[in-house]
Amino acid sequence: MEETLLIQQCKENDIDAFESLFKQYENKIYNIAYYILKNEHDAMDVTQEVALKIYRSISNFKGDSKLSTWIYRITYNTCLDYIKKRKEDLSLDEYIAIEGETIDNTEDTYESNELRNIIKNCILKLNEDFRTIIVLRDVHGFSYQEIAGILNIEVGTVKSRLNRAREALKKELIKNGIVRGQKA
Amino acid sequence: MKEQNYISNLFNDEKDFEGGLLRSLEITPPQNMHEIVMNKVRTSERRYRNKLLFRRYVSAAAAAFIFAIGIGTYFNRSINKESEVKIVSEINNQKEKVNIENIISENEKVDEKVEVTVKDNKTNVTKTNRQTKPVLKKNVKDSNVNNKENNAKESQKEDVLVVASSDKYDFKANDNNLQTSLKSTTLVYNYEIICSKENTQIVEYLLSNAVKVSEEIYSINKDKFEELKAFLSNNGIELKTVNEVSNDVNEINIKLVLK
Repeated sequence: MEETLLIQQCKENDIDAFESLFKQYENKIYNIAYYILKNEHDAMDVTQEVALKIYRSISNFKGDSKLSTWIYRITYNTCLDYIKKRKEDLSLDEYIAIEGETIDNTEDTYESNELRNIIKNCILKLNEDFRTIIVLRDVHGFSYQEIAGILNIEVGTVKSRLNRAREALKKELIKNGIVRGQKA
Repeated sequence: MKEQNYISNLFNDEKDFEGGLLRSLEITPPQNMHEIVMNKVRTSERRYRNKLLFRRYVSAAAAAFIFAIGIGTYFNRSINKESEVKIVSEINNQKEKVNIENIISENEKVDEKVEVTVKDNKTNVTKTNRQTKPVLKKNVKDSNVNNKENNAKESQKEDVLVVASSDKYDFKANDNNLQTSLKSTTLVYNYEIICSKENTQIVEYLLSNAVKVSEEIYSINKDKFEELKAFLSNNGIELKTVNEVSNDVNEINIKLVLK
């Protein structure tokens, strides 16, 4: 109800209402952008761009889908446009930094922080489609329907793509010496 | 440990396990991100509104400008037309004036000829038959400014009869306007000196004190005229007044009649 009111106020160009509304979504927008673009700086740029797009086009939002789905779809499309504009999948410096991250192999059991870093790096090494669907489902916990709405694909496609993405992630984890949460 | 659970599900080939197990992988955005984003939105919004306002004002200004140009063009055209009409009417008026002047001067010449003839035969003044002389007004539209002679000729032939003088025309009663106009165009004399041909004194006096204007007429200064009067009275020569001399005239014309 409150969100409906905020949307209405945003449609009347109430910038304070927009600020309140955007605050609820900015973290997830930034995260999605980060995992797709694999770069904090680019994620920041895209977050700003998404904010502007939402503010300018919220009057076109008819409520056919959830507002969150509409916002994340804008985020996803903006990221794709950003990648096309940049003409490269990710900046070389950032890629090197990710590749260069060392894993402490001296411990038999990985601490949770270290495991998180490994998983994160493995996710970032996946291709864009797999990376996106893993982030949406396993990091942010969106339902299949929501993911289908965001990516503008069928629910069945979401499921099959998610399975393939997880399979790819598993291989990456194995490459990094992870077997059932422990170093092989 | 959700991450451990996630990896277990992954390695157990679980296909439909719950989402959000890697929520801990969410990264924290920069602290000032919210301010940066909102600043950008506000700046962009301001620019966007300014653009909209600018477009509105520009379109309004353009419309006003076009309207003003239209009005200006309309008035300019109407003023040009008015001035054209004025110029045409002024030209017509000038033509009319010139034609009337031509006609008047032509008629004055005729009058003067008649007058001179009459004065030469002044003893018969009252008996002189003066032909009724039509003074014609020239039709302005048909007249040609540059061709005065043609106008005069044409004026005799056509149009309206304005004034006609009668046989009883008396020179003494001639009006001042006619006199002044005659003075301006022809040699008019004010006095007549009548003496015998043998009297050479008067001729010599006039030649030395006056200017010979024509064969019989001399022009003399007003002051010297008084001396002439005295000279004439001393020599018993008759001085006859033909026209009264106005005070503002310096030169007096005198006709010398030798018998």
